[in-house]
Amino acid sequence: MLRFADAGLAYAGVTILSGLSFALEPGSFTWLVGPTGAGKSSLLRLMSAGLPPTAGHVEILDRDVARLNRRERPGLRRQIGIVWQDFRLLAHLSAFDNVALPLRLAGRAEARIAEDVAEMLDWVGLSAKMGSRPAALSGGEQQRVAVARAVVPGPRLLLADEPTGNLDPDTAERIVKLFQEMNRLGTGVVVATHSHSLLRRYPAGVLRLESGRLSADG
Amino acid sequence: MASRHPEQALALPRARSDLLAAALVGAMVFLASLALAGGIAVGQFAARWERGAGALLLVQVPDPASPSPEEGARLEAVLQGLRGLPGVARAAPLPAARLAELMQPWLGSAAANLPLPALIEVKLARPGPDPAALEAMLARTAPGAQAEDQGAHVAPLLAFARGLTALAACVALMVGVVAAAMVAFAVHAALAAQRATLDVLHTLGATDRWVASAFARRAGRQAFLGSVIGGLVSLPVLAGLAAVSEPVSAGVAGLVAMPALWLPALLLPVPAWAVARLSAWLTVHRWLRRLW
Repeated sequence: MLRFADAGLAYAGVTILSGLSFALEPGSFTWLVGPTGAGKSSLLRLMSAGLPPTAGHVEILDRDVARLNRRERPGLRRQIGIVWQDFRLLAHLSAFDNVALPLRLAGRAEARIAEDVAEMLDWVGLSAKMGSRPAALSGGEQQRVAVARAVVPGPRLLLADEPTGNLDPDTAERIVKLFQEMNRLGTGVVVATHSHSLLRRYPAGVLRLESGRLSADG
Repeated sequence: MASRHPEQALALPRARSDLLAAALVGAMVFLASLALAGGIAVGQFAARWERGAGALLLVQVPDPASPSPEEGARLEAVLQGLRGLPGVARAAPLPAARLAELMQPWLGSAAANLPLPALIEVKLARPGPDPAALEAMLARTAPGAQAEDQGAHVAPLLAFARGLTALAACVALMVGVVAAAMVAFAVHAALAAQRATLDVLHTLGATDRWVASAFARRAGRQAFLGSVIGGLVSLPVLAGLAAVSEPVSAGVAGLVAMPALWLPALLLPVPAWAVARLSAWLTVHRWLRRLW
């Protein structure tokens, strides 16, 4: 699913990630942990084909990222769901339209989109707010919309950056269980978190980053 | 609630630069309409001159009643000779009374008593007669007779008119280039303002084509609306110009009846729409290259 071989990332001459070598098997569930500034978000960006590595090789869903041409990259990205730490909802779109966005990008029929999005929003408990714009939603509600947007297309790989950070314990539990359910259905999941309790309650593989490198116990 | 089109999904906010671009495209279409209408009107006048004075030949026959070396009077012999020449559509002598009337301002009442040469008005076909054959015929039938090609007087005017028409076309072309540049500038500003949105779309797997299509549709629609307004505003101005040019245009009715004069104002929104779409499309594609 993900294969990094001595991969690194530098930006404006500053090395952010280096010497990353690991492989995550299809259908695996992995926690990505590390202190703030360790490079977790940058690593998730590499994993989402948001950037090419500046060193080494990265394979995502069996595709060598560096070899993908401009026309091939969007197709790969559409197989990856991502929940950003800062949600990145489009402020001028309703919750419904935000969640529908990846389906529309994939060219899904509107009738099917309406059905799937309504079901997804119902699942995250936002049926009553599907017409609301992000500014009218609380932080937790925005996070649930972001999760719904990442999950609704049924991605092969799901990446999440602190997806439960703004959620109450019950909702956080539901979200993690959703990820696990997707994982059981074959979706590979990588979740960046600071929550030790999540790691304890849901044991899985761990990638531990420190100063842009995988630590020995990672 | 559900938006179906990329542009709606993008839901680009109403940017001032968009409105400004629409207004400027409208102004450009207004100017292009006037330039093209002016060029077309001048072209029509030139064609009219070419068909009129440009296709006229005046033959002067001194001693018209004297016998011709060939047969009959000199005037009749020249007329027969002209009518037999290829390239001559019609040849008719100017009545002596009319000739005297034309000469009166210079010669006064004496004009009627002076031995004036006869004048033959010759309407030329296309192509006209061979000049050498014409000269030979005149020398044979009425030595001393002269042909004066009116087209020679019209030629510089026609060249000037054609120059004006070409200039109008160049102005319209330049206006199109400026409009395309303005659309590109507005789209660039909108892209910069939408950077965060575009980053999200890019990461979610939006293709360059999808994003470009959204911007191109919007730019095309704005340019179309702006240019329709610009074209409509140009119509009363054109009518006013037609009225002002009445003394040289053979009447406003003649100008107003020229569909070609009004067509630029009515048709320019279509190329404006196409140019705006193309400009936006190319600008977006170039801009997106900065996203990996």
